[in-house]
Amino acid sequence: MTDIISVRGLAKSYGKKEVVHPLNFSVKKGEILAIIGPSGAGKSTLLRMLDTIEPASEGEITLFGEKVTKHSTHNLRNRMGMLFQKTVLFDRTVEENIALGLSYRHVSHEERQKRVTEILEEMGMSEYARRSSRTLSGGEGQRVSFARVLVTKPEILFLDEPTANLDPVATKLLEEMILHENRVNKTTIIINTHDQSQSQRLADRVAVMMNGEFVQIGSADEVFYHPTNERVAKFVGVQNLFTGVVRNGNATSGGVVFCPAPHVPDGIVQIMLRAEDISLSKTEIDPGRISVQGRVVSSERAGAFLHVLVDAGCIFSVICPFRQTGDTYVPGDIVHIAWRIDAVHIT
Amino acid sequence: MGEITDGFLEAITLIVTMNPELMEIAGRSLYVSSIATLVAALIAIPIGAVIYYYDFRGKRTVINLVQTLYALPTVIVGLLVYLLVSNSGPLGSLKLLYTVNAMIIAQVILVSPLIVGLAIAALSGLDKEMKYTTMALNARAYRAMMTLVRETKFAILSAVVLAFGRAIAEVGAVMMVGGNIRHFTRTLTTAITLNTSMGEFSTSIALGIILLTIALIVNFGVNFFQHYNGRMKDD
Repeated sequence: MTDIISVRGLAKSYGKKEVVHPLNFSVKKGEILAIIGPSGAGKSTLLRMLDTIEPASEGEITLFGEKVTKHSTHNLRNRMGMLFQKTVLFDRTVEENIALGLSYRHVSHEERQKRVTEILEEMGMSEYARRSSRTLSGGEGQRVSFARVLVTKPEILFLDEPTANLDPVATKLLEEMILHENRVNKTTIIINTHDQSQSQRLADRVAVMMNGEFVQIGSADEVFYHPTNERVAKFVGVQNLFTGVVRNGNATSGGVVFCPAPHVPDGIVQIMLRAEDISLSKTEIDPGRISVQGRVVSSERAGAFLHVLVDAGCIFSVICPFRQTGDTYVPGDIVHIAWRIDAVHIT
Repeated sequence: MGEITDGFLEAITLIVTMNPELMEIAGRSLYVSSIATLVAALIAIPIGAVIYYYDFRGKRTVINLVQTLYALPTVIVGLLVYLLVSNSGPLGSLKLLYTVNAMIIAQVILVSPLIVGLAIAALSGLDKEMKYTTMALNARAYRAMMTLVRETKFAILSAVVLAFGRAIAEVGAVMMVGGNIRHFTRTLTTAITLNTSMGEFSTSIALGIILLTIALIVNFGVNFFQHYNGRMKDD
């Protein structure tokens, strides 16, 4: 597979403020790359530069093997599409909205009509064709915006937090459409999201962007279970982060032995453990795992889950399904917590 | 007091009987200002769109300058156009001085900045993503601008109607370059000026009522378009 997008030293500054620091990465044809990171990390600016609608301050972008220059943008954009967080609908009918990109490309009226009808049918939205775009709900509006992009048959899609303003049902529908587009048409996709589970559901690779740079890029498993540093770990929701030591082949912190670490040289380390990888019980837990005894500090419900803090030398954050446990943990209870050795990540 | 009451009664008679000279003057006023507003809109809306669409050095200054020109004194425009079209001016050979066309030119200059400025303001009210979307859909600049102007049609129409109101109500410029010649270049405002200075209050009041009625209709127009514009934003 060849690189369809390749970026060298790409940076963007507004005045003196550099919002995207020089970046190097490439994306293969047919791949889905998710970029996750907090707001203001430069994700949107990066996507706009890749879609050539915002000029870069430095560096170069190669798309379809062709370098982006002032003169090549128009031809390159013909093969790409972009969807924004904020739904953009023009004050026209649904079909006129969808036909807009085609009319910009001087596609004939008949061809336009045919392709718009096709895509509406494919999306199960045929009855919407003549409706005014103003009558659509948020989810419907974003689907129409997506249709407007797809109807131009893009080979690369840039999606800038496309589901951030949508309810869970509309989000799921759009995610299915995104995956369908990738699987059926082999469309290369870069999607910005702050929803980590979304990046896991959709992406082949995940890049974590913070303060204008990629701090980690890899498979979803690598990023979520083996974050390269504390900042990434905190962002991807590793609640249990301890500064500990490796001595005599064991990683310990606060008197708790987390796991054997025979290949790690002695010294100070960061120990990371995801809250959902820890199990909680009032009785002794099976011996195949590391188990310690502690006392419940607090216990609160978060949706369908129970979030319990346990003091076992260090304060552990534990998440378990509420149905399984019932509301049986109160502060002061003596409990056992346990985790598998391979759930611990040391850096 | 009697003079004013009499003036009012006579004015109403003049309007009700559709006095030919009165109608001629009102018709000329409407003609001059309509053409001027139309021409100004055709020039000013694209200029506004270009200023909005492109990022360039000094953009803020240009916008400030345009906004300053909203308050351009009508006599200054009159002077400018007079110098331009007088016999010794650069356009002197066209023999435009004291014609309706000179008056139209003056009003175009007068109201264009208003339309440019309000068009920029209307377009700037659009979401940034809307401009990005036209670019991402690969519109050429002029197509993108047309799409975006179309999105702000109500706000821009209300700007145009407002410009018409300014054009039809001004007196300084048309007086200077039109000359207030009876049956030729006399408009509602110049006629009011003349008749008042001659003590012909009834005619002045009649002309004034017509002018106010036009202003009222203009204001209804602005409100109508702004209401539509507001409703679009609420949705």
